[in-house]
Amino acid sequence: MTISFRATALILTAAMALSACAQGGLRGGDDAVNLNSAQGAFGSVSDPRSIAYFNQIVGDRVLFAVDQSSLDGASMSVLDGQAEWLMSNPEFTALVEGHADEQGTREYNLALGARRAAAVRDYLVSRGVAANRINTISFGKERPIEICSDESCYSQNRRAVTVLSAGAGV
Amino acid sequence: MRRSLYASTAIHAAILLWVALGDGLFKDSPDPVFEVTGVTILSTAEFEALSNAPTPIALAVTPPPPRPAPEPEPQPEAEPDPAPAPEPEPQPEPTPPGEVTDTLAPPAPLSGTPDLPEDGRPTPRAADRIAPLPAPAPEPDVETAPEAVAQATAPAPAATPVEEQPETAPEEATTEIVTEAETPSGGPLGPTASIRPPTRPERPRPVEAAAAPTPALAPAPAPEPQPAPPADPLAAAIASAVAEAVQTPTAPSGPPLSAGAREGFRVAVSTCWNVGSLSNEAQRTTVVVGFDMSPDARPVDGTLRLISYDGGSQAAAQQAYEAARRAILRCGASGYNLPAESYDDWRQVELVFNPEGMRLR
Amino acid sequence: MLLTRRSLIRSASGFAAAATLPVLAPGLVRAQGRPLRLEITEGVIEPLPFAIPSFIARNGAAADAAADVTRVIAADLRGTGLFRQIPDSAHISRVTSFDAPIVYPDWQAINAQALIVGEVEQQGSRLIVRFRLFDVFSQQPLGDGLQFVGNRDGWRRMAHNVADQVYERITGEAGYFDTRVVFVHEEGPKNARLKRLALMDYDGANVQFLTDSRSLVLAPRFSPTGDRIIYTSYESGQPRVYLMDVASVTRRPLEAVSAGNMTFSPRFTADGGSVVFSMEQGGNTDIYRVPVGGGARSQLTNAPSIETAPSFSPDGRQMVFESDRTGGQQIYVMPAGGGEAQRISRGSGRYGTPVWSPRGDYIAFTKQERGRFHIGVMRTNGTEERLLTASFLDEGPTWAPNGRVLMFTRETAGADGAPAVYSVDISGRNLQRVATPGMASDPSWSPRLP
Repeated sequence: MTISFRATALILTAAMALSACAQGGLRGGDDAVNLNSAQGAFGSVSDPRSIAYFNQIVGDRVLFAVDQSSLDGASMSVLDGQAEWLMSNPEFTALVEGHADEQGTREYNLALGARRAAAVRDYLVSRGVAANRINTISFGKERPIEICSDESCYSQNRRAVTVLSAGAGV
Repeated sequence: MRRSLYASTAIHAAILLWVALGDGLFKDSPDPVFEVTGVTILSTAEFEALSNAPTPIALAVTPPPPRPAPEPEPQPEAEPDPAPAPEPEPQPEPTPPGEVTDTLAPPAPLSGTPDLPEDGRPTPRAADRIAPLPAPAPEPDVETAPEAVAQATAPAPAATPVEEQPETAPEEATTEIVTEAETPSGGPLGPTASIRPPTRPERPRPVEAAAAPTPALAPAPAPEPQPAPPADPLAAAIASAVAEAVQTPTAPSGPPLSAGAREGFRVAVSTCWNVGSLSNEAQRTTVVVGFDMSPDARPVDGTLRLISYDGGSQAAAQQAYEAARRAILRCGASGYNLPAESYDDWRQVELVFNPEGMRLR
Repeated sequence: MLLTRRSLIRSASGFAAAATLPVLAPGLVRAQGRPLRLEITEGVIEPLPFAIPSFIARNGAAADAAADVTRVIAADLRGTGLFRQIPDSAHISRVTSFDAPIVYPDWQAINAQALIVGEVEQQGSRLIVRFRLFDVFSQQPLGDGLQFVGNRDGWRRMAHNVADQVYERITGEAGYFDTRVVFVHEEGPKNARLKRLALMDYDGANVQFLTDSRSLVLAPRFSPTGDRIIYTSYESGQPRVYLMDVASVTRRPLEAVSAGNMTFSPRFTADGGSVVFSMEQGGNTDIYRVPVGGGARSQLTNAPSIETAPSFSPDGRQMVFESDRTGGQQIYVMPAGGGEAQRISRGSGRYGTPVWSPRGDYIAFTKQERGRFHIGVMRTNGTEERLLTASFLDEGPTWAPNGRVLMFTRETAGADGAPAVYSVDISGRNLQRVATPGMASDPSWSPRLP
């Protein structure tokens, strides 16, 4: 399976725009689920077919323990919701971004982020989402969402975020 | 805030629209293989200029010719200053920097100090100079001289036009290199964490050597969990005893050179022997340097020679020899403190410079 | 006119020899007795004091260049921590001509152990730099005088070349001043960093950008010949390895890789003919090798764990890398062609980013333990581990071409945390920040420039 260079670039651009936006919301309040900035472009939270609904109600991210890429019970239930949503909204594809906290070397963290993204993708596939609708990418420690240097931030940064794009399967 | 929200909304909408309506989003398009970046700040011409390696050419004109010497000069080298001068007079032995006794101050708190649990092992404070004995930092009002010894090597007053040496204190020194990782207290590192040659054992030293500072002994760091090296006190003591036994009978006249005087000489050379600027290989090379002494205990120029070397290449030996030569000449410039009545014992000298214990110290 | 005891001795012994006083004639002395033999085992480790009077401008046009060249040479030498400059204000002699005899006693009196004398001449756009080095106490030149001819614009390189010569002649180690460093220049807040590849002289001068900041770039590495750079960029969307030609600043992906497979952590093999890198597939990362000029990719590791940060021994026979196959990151060495890997890191904590010294004698690494990071070195079999630094976050060492100095990234903590490039001697001495314009990370040291 291959994605054209252009398509990848588009997805990435969209993903980064989304995540930048999400950061604005997160800095405003500590609630990682309640993204108040996601209105308009992502549709209304009250519309269950909107991206805003996915991001805020279903939950677009799961968090990991230090150095870990395994999913705990809470993560699995979030991903169960994501899988369900993806299956009922087949016009969307997903890019799973894996991230790490800053407590690690750059290259190892890239690999660790990839592991986390893969764990999420594999779980979604196991719940019935077509594999060709999900891509992964790792940002290692390059794109922290919280910028302090203690565990309260690190725990938010060890994450895998499912970013939606409108479009047919790969 | 609102403005950025609108901007964000608009951009997201535009992107999503483009993604949704864009042509052949997931159609394969050929991967771009070669690209020329558009952000070249460095033009090819500039690069060439930068990369234009300067060409080295050995100068035809090698060192400047010796200054024409009025009187016949047996030595081939340049005679710097043939002007007449007063006879050398005995100079007091320079006070070695190490004589200042000092209980090690607690390590200076450095920024970025590791907050590691104390293990009780004292780590010497960081200083630019690693010497056999720690010296305190100079007092603020005393100018640090290029070298404490400089005072003693300064030209005789008669010949000095105006220069006046400010009072100097020995440069701050510590007994071993302190890496950032070791401050302030070594940290709870395992046995493999930090290899440091253990302090050398003190040589047997008679009482009359009181004037001579002892080189080896910094306030000893608590023993590290490391086996002692094979080179050790016993062998050193034996070697020293043997050397002494061999030396003693060779004095045809005058009293034999005392062990104390011998130790004092050894220490005097040590204080000028700087291995810090040597390559790692040269720091592993032991050199034996021979030279003659004048009766006033100064090394005779032109007699210094490399007798043998061990542990490194010839090139490394050359660097090691040069460092040893600097030490002998520099600390001997005003004469070593050796008893004139034992001249026969020290008119010829062979010094073995063994840097093993100094490496990565 | 200044006299020291040294010249007095010389005069005295010369006179004595001429007068055939037997007691001072070396030949006769040697016939008697045995030499006094002593072993010196304790020395000092301190910067060697040197003097560098401002180079003489041979013509008026060269005045600025002469001052600049002198300043850079002195800074190079001081920056090693191995040399200490004696300020000009302490000098007794003034050097007025390049060919004038050296008045050694004047330099001995201020305890200069090495003396550098030079002159600079400008002919149109050409610059000529000449220098000589003297061992002050033995009153001898160290090596021949040398002359460098180059472009006026290349004066820094000429100065670095002079400093390299001085460093080599005194230490016996190859110099590292005429070198460059490729690094990542960073801008912007911590959660939206912009990164661009940049090139600078080893001392932070002459910064040039090689990419814009549209795509994240990571961990560039020089080729063994210094004419190419291999690095990771997100410009295609996925992290992918790119190869850049330094002279033309053109780049291309190292090879076509399927989407979804991230490639990163590249490094040239010892001969520069191939690149080793990590590729991630389905969450698993292994190490691969591919010829630079194209050809089949070979897989060097095959484990369900993360294998990354490969680096070759200079003889090309072995490869060191990191793996978390036993849990945390540890360092392993394996034959270059593949085969059994031996773990060499043995201490507590985690070990990553191993880099083989260009001299082959040490492996530098990043160690993470109890929430702190260290740069360290160990023998290639894992013994003699020595930690050189400690901070909130140190990582990614790179070797100076002479294997005696390391540069690395140090990042400070907190919301305003920022990366900078530091250097440290492998003895752990002389830790200092490299003067970069703004934030900088991921340095890679070039070989000595041709």
